[in-house]
Amino acid sequence: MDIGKPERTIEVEPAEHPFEAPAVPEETPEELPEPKKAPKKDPVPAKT
Amino acid sequence: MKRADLLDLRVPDVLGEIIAWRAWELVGTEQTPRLASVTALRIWKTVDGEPMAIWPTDRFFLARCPNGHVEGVPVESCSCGLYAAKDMQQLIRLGYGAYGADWQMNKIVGQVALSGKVIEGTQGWRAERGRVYRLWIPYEMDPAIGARLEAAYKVVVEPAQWIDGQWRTLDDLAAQFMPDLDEGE
Repeated sequence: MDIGKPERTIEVEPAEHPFEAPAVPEETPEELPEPKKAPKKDPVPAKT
Repeated sequence: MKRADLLDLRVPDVLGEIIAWRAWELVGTEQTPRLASVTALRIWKTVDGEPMAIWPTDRFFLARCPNGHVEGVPVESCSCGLYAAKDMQQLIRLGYGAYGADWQMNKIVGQVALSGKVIEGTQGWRAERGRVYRLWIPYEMDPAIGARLEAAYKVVVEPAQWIDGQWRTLDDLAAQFMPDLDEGE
C-alpha cells in the first residue's frame, strides 16, 4: 500500500483503553523491602 | 517513576484514535476465524523469521519492522508500519478490497483504529499500532463466521454488498432507497 507523500508525524493516544486488560503491567516497586527478622529469643534452658 | 521512564514519556498530539480503512485476509478455521494482513501474510516476517500477520483479539496489533528497526516504528526513512487508507474509496483505488474477477471469499474490508506514532500521508497512514474497529463481510459469506469474528474481536460486523464500486451495508441501502423509513408515520 502506498500512503502517498508523508505530511506529518503525530503521537496518538486512545482516550480510553479499548481492551479489558491493561496494556502495561502495573508498576512494581524496584526493590522490595527486606523482610523483618523475628527477634532473637534466649534459648529456653533444657529441663533437667 | 524511574528516570528512564520519564525520558520515554511521549506527549500525545491527538487524544483518541485515527479511524482508517484496511483489508484483511480471513485465516484460521470456521470455528476460530481470525484476520491477517493481506500483504504481511505472504511477505513480511520479522528478522527472526516469525510471521507478523495475524491480528490479535485482545490487544493491539503492533507493527514490527522487517528491516530490523526496533524503536521508533514506523520509521520515517523506512517502509515499516501498519498501513491503512484514509477512506474506503482510497483503499479500493490502492488495489485493496475491491470486489472483482479476482475476488476471493476470504477477504474482509473494514476499519482500523490507529494509535501510537502515526505518519500521515496524502493517501493514508503508517502507524505503530492498531486494533480492528469495524468489519464489513460480503453478504455471501457464512454469517456464522461474521458472528464469530464479532465475538472474537468485539466489534460490529455487518454484511455488505458491492454496488457501484463500493461496499454498501443494509443500512446504507435503506438510507438510499427508503430515506423516509426512520421518520415514522
